[in-house]
Amino acid sequence: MLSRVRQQSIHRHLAKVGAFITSLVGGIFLVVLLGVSLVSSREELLESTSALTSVLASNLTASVAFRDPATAAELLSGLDAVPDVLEAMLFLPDGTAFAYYRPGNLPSTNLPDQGYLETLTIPVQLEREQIATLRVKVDLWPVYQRLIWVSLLAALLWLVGILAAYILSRTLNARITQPLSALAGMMSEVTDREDYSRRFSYEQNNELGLVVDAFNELMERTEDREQRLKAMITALVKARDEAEAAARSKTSFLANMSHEIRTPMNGIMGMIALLQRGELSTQQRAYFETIERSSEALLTIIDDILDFTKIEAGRLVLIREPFDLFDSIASIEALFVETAKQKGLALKVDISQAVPQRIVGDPGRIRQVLLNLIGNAIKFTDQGSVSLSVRVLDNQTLPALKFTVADTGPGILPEDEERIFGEFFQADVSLTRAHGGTGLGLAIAQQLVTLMQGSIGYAPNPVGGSHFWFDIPLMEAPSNEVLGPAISALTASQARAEMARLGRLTNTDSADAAPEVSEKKQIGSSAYELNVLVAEDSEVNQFIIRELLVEWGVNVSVVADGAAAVEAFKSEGFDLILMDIQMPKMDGLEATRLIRSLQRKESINTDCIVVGLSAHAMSGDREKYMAEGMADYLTKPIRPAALQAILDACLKHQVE
Amino acid sequence: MIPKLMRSGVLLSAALAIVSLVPSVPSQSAPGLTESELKAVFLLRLPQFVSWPDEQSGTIFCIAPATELSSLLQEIVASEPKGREVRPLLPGQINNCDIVFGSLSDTVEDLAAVRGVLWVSDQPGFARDGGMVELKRNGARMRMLINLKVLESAGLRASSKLLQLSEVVGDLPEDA
Repeated sequence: MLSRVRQQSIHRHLAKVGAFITSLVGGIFLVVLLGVSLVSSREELLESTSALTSVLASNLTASVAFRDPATAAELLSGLDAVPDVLEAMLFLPDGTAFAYYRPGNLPSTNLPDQGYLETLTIPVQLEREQIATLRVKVDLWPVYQRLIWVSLLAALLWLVGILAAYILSRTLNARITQPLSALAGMMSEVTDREDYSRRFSYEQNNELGLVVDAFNELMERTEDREQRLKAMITALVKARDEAEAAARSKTSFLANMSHEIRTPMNGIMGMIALLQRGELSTQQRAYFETIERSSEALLTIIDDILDFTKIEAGRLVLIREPFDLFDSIASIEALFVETAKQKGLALKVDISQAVPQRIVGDPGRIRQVLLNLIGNAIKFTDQGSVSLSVRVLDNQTLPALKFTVADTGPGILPEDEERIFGEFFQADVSLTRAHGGTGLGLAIAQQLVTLMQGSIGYAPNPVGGSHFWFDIPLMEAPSNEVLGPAISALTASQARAEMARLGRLTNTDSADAAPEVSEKKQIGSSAYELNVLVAEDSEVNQFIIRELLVEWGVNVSVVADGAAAVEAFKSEGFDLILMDIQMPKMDGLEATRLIRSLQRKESINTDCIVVGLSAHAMSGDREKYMAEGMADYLTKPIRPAALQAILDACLKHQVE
Repeated sequence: MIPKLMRSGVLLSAALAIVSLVPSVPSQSAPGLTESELKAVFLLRLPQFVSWPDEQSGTIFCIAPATELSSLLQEIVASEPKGREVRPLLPGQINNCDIVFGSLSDTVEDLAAVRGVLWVSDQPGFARDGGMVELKRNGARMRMLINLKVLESAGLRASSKLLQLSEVVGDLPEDA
């Protein structure tokens, strides 16, 4: 449509130009011609009349000379044959009229003194003596009239000429504009369909031919480029898919490996826990503790890798729930106090008064970032202090919480500042040797903060040392929300794991440190009067859990799959079910769902709580388990302290 | 633009009309002139319409003296620088004259023998009886009667313009 409009406008424009030029040239020509014609025909008339009257004047000499007005009048009447002469008068030199003539059809009144009357005055001479004057009035009106008619005719012809020029011009221009509009049509078609194989055919060797050639050339190049682009895109897509597949298989490999490594580790850890309960020499106990720490360190590394792969795969989902920030920080502080004291470091926590106590967010992830930053600070600082400060940033569009961890350690080299948040980065290879670690800590912290829509950064501490900070959007929790007991339980159950992680984070001696004798662990000797069902397919785990629970005086039943667990739940009144997630026949989640449903609908043993046992130490799973009705979950390997905390929580639950 | 043929036709017919001889029609007389004055005018004008066989510088008018006309002519000729002259008409001296004004009775010599003299008279029947130009009174008007044969036999030629105003009497010249 647009091209049609454009074509028409060019078409008309050219036709108009043609008509305009024709009208201009024709007009000028006509005006000049009419002007010349006016002048020449007027002159011609006057000249011919003048010649006639000169002859007449010559013939009049005798009649004037011999005083014969009658003959003079007779001669004058010969002017009848000249229709343009309206009056002729013959005057003697003394001014008296001698003879007079008027055409017969004219009245004898005075002629009007009109502009188109021309008076010719011709002397009547006899041998160089002027004996009279002949005055003739010539009527130019017929000349003008003829000219007017001619002008009207010419103007008519002029208009017809303009019209003809316009029409002719349009017809001829169509031959030029028609291929132009066809070309425009093809261009818009090409644009619409992206079909670059089209070519325009125009065989004439003129300017338009050049345009068409250029267009076809352009099309050829575009088509060529398009093909190359398509090939390139195909190659790139293939490469990307391959890279993604490779990344996926890498992630999957890491996850599988972590899982595969965890499973035997569970056995090792469980057996260590059991062995530690037996009668051991101080020496043996020290050995076992070293084995335990090494295993914990190994698990921490595996957990890091699992976390990292999960974040990379985009499978990490943050939760949003109200929690007590002050409690969280206090527990973190409590975790580090002992370690800091051992290294001779001052651990300072400074929370601004503006910081609300209860906020909404993912407490586990905030805690993980803080543990990482503070753990690093303590790990790398040999003397001085480590401090955590919490502030509210309300100078931005949205209020934010800013956490800053400052230490007096060696700091980060300026050239490394850009890279510290990259994965697998470690400040100093020699330090890594000394301190260990996967190098994933800060990368995970950064990804977590980014997921929380915050930012993380590093700045050199002005007084020496490092200065890590991160901020997250601040959402204050409504004060009436109550924190569920499950979270306390979780906090308790994870405390032990975090202690292990801390050991990894903060203990420079790490796993390869020399054996060290510590006081024997005292597990509470009071018996738990609880009926506990263990649903677990792994015999090793069955053995470990059973050993632990029996030692604590718990009444233990063991089944190997979910279906058996549901049956057992129906027939016996258990206080607690430890439910493995992955089991044959029916998995733990399905079994839990059935049990919860039975509790709700048939009110069977409503006091019984289900706690999951998971080999997947990944956050985010927890929500899934909670959604199925589990009160909490324990991460394998099962640590006695964590299990004991669950039993405590269960007892408390029963009392309530 | 203007048709030329048409215009030439107009021109031609107009020219023909003007040069064609038209019969004289009665008309009013020339105003305020006495008969003698009128005759003087005619006599003085005649040489301008008549050609003589030999070129001459001036014109010699011969007229019977002591008439009103002769004195009038004398007066007019005296007042002008032209080489014109008025002489008394004397017998035997006609050959010196260019124009003779007189009656047939004044004719002392055979007219046919005298060449180059224009013989004018107001005597009625003058032209018919063998004179050349007769001035004939017609009311207030003066008319000329010309005997062309006599005039031409004297070696003179009258202009067509003159003939246009005049009445030709007598036989026509043989060569005409």
